[in-house]
Amino acid sequence: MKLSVIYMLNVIVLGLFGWAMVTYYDAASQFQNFMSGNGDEVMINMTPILITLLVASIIGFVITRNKRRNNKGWKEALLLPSELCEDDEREKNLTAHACRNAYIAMMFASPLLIAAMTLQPVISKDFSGYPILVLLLLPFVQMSVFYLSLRRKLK
Amino acid sequence: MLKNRIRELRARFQLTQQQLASKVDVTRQTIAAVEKGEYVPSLLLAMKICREFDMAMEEVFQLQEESE
Repeated sequence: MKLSVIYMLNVIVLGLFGWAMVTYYDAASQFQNFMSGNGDEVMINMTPILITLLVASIIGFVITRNKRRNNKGWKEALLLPSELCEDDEREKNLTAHACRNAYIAMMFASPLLIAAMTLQPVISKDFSGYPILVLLLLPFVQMSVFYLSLRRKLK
Repeated sequence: MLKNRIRELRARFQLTQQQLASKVDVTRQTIAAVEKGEYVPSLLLAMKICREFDMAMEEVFQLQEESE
């Protein structure tokens, strides 16, 4: 499977997961209000989690089947991310280089995102899912740097 | 820089990139990258390639100074 397709699928699943978690975060806030006597009911929107489960299941099935067709073992097909499947020493070399770049990117992104979390008390009044969004930016940065680094080397 | 004669030797031995790749257990893209000088192979891969052509290492790979 093409690297750009795998990256897009990862971003879609991450985005959907974020959407589902924001919904649950809202529900948890409502529950907190309910327990402290400020709310009457707790409403959970099940649509995001159902869509996320459906899309993730389909993508997972297609990717696993694809890897099994390429003679990968069940353990590798189920647990190893597709972008880390290496067939020879050159591909291992490329992955190692991309992992190094992703690690460096995390060294810069982590403190910035931790600093962004300090705005949570201000922004949470208008957007309660702000901490989820900030946390999701970490894997997004990691995946994006890994993908861009590999793409540049493969050109 | 590491220069090599893999393309020339492949032609002489009538091997495609895919055939050589299968013999030395790598992908076709890796053979292409080695031929173009974009990837420096490991000692193990270089020795496997030399064995396929039945040649000494220095006959297949030559170290070229950057200024040349």
